[in-house]
Amino acid sequence: MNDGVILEVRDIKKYFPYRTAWFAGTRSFVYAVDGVSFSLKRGEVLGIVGESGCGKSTLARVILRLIEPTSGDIFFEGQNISKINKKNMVSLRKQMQLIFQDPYASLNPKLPVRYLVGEGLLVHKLCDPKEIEERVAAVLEKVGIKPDQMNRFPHEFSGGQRQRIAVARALVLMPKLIIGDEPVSALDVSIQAQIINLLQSLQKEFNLSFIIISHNLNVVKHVSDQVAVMYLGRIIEKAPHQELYLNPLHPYTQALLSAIPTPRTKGVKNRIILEGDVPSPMEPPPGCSFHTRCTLAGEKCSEISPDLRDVGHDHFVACHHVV
Amino acid sequence: MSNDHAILRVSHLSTYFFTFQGIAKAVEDVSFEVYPGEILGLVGESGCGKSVSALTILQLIPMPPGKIVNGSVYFEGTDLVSLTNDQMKKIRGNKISMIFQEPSTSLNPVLTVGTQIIEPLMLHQNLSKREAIEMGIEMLKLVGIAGPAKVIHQYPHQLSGGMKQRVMIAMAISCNPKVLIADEPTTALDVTIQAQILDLMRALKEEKDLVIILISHDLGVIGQMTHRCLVMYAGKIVEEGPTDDIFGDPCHPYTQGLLDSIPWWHEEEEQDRKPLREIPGTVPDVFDLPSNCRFLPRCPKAMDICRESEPMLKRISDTRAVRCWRMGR
Repeated sequence: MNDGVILEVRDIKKYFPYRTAWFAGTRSFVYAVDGVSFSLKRGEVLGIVGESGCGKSTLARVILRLIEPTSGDIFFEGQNISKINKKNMVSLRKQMQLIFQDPYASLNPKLPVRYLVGEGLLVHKLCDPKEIEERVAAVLEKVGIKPDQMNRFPHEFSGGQRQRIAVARALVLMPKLIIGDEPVSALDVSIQAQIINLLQSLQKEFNLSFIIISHNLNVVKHVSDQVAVMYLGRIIEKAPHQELYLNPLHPYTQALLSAIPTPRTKGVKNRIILEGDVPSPMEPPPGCSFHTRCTLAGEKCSEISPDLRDVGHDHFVACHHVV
Repeated sequence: MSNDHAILRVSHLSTYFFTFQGIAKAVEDVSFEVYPGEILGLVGESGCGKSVSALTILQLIPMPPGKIVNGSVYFEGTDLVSLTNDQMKKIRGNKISMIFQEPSTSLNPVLTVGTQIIEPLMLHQNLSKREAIEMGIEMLKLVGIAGPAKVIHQYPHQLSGGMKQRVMIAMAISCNPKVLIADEPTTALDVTIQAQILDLMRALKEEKDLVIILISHDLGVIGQMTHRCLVMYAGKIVEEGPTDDIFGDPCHPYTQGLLDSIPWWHEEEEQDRKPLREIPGTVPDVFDLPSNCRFLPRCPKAMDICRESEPMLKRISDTRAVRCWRMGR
């Protein structure tokens, strides 16, 4: 594995403004992503987990600059891409692709697969128009769709096959980085395994760097090298996958893991059940964002927001109580 | 366990949908019993007929195009299938109630929580409005809503997803039903909220002496919550038995495949890096089901006899049954 860093994100913030009253000029913000930093090595898979509204999808879109960040820097292969103009960004995006959650919504129903998959090649002028068909056939073969089906339309395929087409669409450009935003969440369990295996084998074959965003902690553990846990727009814990799951340090991660229902934890009494809901990102609590639901919360937690600290073994955690 | 004290007995239930595209055999020959004090799980992938089975019990199938072509649902000595709509209304929400997957679509957005929660109480329990509101506040307290007197005057959009599902549960149990059918009650919720709701359901089952039929595609939820479960595939039950036995020693190749295809987070490092065992192919088209074994095209262990005819659901022990030619021969 090459040790070079492919993507580095420094203190990314994305605040969405909204009006507090219909006619008033006063504006307030939804703090969707609130200071996220991480780096991703070439050929590495980073899993980002968190509950709905924690900002994980916004983060993915900000990295590709599909949404402009409020502040912060994004370095892709050493180049700061947070400032470059739109036109250059478009041509850079062929190296970084996104796979969406719902293959029923992400594929244009009026276009045949041949065009859906070849569109990127056409836009980026990556090959001779005559070769497009060949390239599309090759990539469809890779993801397990018969090339002779390339004149069909999305509705003629099942959910799993559609997600394969979505993967082909990203893969055809030979990107260096693929971000999967809940790539298997809309699929049935038996199909989920097919897509996970496909993504994993492609990742190995092309030494791709991957960011997998999911709320499913089981899936994230299986595919990732590093796992980051997000809560209210911040990364609160990050570690290599075994380390994070076997030795979770942040009380939120501990609660999250114990909340996953598994047949083997049946009857286990010491499950941690968090009370209440995630606070609104419109009014995040002061201090540690988790202190409103945390059992360990003390005075300090409601005042000072903890930084993400290195606690050894490549394990980072943002909590005042972890020594 | 004898059949006599089963609370609900479903036998040979078949529900078809007659559409322009053809006949969709959504549920075929489904039989099961629910015994006092148990949580029964119905598990399977989308389109396997688990929700339609539940809706059929309560006669909530849109007819037409749907039709219950065969079978009976015995509850307290009467066959629910033979009841008229008016008679059925006295059962629904009163003796058998149901909660659905998406709490935000099953609550009426323009009515307050209070208006919705007192409706079944006034209808089935003949309470006055004032009594019903008092009772409603009690119910909201029971399901763990903080400040029930305030929440009762709020509209659904003012509540979070978890709170809405609690309100749904409060409505469902307000008339002290015997049976609660929960159709994917936590699928739309986050994991930490899911844990809260599952915990609540378990506590209510004890307190209210309920019988719960829990429908889910999530094997984790089924494994953790239920005593017995039915695994469904393409409209039929393929495996039935105590949950621990099924998860410990699955007999049907579909159940085996399903359990193998899920990564569990507490697995060891080596296991982690191995590719998942996948079930090849996809679920058969509901309009064009194979006449032999329905799992045949995806089965890794298919034999000659599987191609010839469809297996029956065979008892392999006192408590377990499997629909596979490989078993119980």
